[in-house]
Amino acid sequence: MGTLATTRARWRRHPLAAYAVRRVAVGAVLLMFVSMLVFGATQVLPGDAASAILGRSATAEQKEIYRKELGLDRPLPTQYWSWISGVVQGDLGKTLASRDPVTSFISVRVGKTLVLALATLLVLLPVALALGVWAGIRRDRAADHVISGISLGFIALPEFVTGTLLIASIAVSLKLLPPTSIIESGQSPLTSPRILVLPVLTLCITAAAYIIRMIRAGVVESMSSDYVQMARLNGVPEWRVVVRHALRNSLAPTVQVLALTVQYLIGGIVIVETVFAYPGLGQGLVQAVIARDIPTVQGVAMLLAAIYVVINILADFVVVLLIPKLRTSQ
Amino acid sequence: MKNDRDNRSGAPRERLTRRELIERSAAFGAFLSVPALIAACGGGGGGQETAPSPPAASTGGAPSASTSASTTPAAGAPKRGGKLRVGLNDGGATDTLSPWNIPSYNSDARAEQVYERLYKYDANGAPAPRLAESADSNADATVWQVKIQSGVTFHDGKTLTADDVLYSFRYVADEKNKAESLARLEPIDLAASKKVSDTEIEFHLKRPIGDFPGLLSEKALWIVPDGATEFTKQPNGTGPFTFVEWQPGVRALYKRNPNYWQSGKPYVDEVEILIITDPAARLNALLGAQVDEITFVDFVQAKAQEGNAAIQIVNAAQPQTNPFYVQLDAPPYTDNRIREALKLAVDREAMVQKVELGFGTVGNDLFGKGLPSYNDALPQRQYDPEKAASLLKAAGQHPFTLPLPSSAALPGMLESATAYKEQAKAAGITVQLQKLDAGSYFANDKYLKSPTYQTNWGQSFESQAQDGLFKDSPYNETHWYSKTWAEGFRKAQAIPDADKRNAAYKDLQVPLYKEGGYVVFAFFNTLDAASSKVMGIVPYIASGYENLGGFDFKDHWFAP
Repeated sequence: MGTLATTRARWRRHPLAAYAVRRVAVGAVLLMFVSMLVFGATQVLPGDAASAILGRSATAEQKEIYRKELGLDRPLPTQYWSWISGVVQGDLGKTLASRDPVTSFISVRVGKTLVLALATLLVLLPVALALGVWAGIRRDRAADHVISGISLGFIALPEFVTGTLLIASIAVSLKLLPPTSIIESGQSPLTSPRILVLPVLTLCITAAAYIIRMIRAGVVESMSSDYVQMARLNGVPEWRVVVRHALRNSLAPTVQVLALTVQYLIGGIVIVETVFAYPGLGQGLVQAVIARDIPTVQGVAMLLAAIYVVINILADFVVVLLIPKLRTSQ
Repeated sequence: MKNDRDNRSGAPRERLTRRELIERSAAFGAFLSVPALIAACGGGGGGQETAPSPPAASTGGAPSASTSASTTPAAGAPKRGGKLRVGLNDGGATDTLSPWNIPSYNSDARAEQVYERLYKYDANGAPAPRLAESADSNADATVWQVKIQSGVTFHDGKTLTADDVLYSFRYVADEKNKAESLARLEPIDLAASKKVSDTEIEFHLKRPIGDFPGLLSEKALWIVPDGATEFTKQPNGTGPFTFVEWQPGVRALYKRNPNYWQSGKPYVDEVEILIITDPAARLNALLGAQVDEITFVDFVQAKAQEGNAAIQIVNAAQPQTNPFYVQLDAPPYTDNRIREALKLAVDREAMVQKVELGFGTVGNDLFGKGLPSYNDALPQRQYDPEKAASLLKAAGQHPFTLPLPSSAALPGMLESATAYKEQAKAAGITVQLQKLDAGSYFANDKYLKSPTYQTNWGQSFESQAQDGLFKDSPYNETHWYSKTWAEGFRKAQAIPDADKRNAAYKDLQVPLYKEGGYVVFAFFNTLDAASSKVMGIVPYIASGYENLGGFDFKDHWFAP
């Protein structure tokens, strides 16, 4: 009892640390569940890895031998245990056919995906924030209607439609940019940034609409709040009202929006990489699913899930930092 | 996610994607018990698991230094130089450099650059000598003397000899190497087969095989250096290109082999294979000149590009077909009048024009149209609903109801079943269309059990026969079985002379035409595309990973 009480006391003194520990613990439990889901989902995929690798005319005996070699004949709980105990030690297993570590499959591709994601965020965030704020402070005026209307339209357009339209117009008809983002040997997205333009644009158009609307809603709410009214009545200049009062208080929701954007990108990149044949992690995941390369599917899915969870925790943490009263509330 | 996307993006794309999906699933054995999928993925290959007997042709007498059924009649002399970039439709983490298993188009395209076989099917579906110079048999086709080219070297400089050939075959035949073509070598007695000289091998067979060159043309029967055991690091064959580097599921780069034995070839300096699985992205890459050739465009894409002078559609009349079948022992289909009526109730020309947009040809209820063993002397069945109605009346089955399971598993499949529903009305036939899931269409509990079904094949007559017309055939969909017919087939199979063998095969097709359970109404072509600047691509009419002129990039060159 005594120890518990002191621990509690110490935690109360560091509510932020307590909060962080709690969130991380929840995240770990969540990832454990995700790992079971991922493992279960890959088990119910129709198709069979041994036949995938050996080719159509392989005999049943050949396949049986191969399944044994891969350990696919063991009971599912055993397979799950040996997989998950590897995962927690950073060993994601080996790809089925080439027997290379899944981690090396990931490391070749993850850089390209990061380049795409960062390029998207660099373009997306400033533009979307600016447009969102502008629409918010110009509520119900022409600028707001134009921005809100267009972004509403884009929300209804999924990435593959936007991407296809951009390819058809800008790349195929006007021939301004390459229609796909294939990378020949000796090239990289950094040496030929032209191939990044259309995928980044596609992701931005899809994600911006959402962010703009979120930011606009936050700003509109702040602008109609009592403290803004009060500031105005006190004769504070309008730009100061916006920057010091309205925006400051929209900051917390903005962090959440940023987190949501990154989470959206995790899914959106899988689609965009496929549409543009960009050889990143998302395309690799799709290929692995089609090829029934279970260890790769599991490894990439776990990585993406982990990123998702970590982003969430970080965002929550930053929000708590920004809004002190949340630190103590349970 | 990919499926959603394709579903929403409209039918044309969905068709190809689904086909690819299925092809892959087949390749991965999701539906191993499916001839259809085997056919879809390359009938030539898969169908011949048990007893290889591919599209027949000359018994490989004539030694010809170049395989060049595939060289081109293109204007002007071939020009040297350039980098050929090819967009392939599949690939991923499962790819390896080992050539012994060919589960995908890209794995075949890569292996064909580095490795060669003794024979290879040419553009007309006949086995043409490659590393072999000739193959001659004894009178009963049980012993074959194969002579190989002299002066051929591997990429590491070693000279090709008979020892390499025997080693390669024994490597494939060794179960522990898990080579795909193991079962294909079953007729060869490798223990008794022996080297006669450095360039001659004597193959002893366990039973007569008249078309031994056809067997030697089979997938993944590559010739590698004697003693080679490591195939995943630096591929070493006799092929026209040498391996430089690759990244699985992304690209593979090859350099011209300056010592290649076919003089002047290859024409291009480099070949780069780029994996672009999305059909729209693949075509866009070609239109945007990011690649020079691509595998697989669908009917609608091909039609849309017809007027585009910058693009050539490689239109290969491979015998792919989505026939309906009925089981001969399931009443009322036991009555041939009903089977005949079903065959007369389909408008074959409309199927080709409306479903395949003209990229195909009418069928005559037999398989392997266009290949040397196809019987094209039989009268073409026409759309004749009146005659169909009168046959049904004579059988006491008018009006008739036909339950017909179908799916969007392959290009034009569901579309043709839907069209048949309309066409058959005039004959008093009500087609009850049952749309089944495409992904599991050949792995569900209905296929091979339902007395009627829509299926898919892409093989020659003799290859399909072994897979589907014998009592112990794995996919005897129609329950066709006749002892005398089967004996006749085995006899035909042992005839070494190609013309005589094909004549015997053609005779065997007559009873199938008259009484068989298949309604083979149309064949659809395999469509690839390339830049108009690329010369030397000859469409292959045998199906089975034979895209873009059998992936023989050594024959392709850039117009100046």
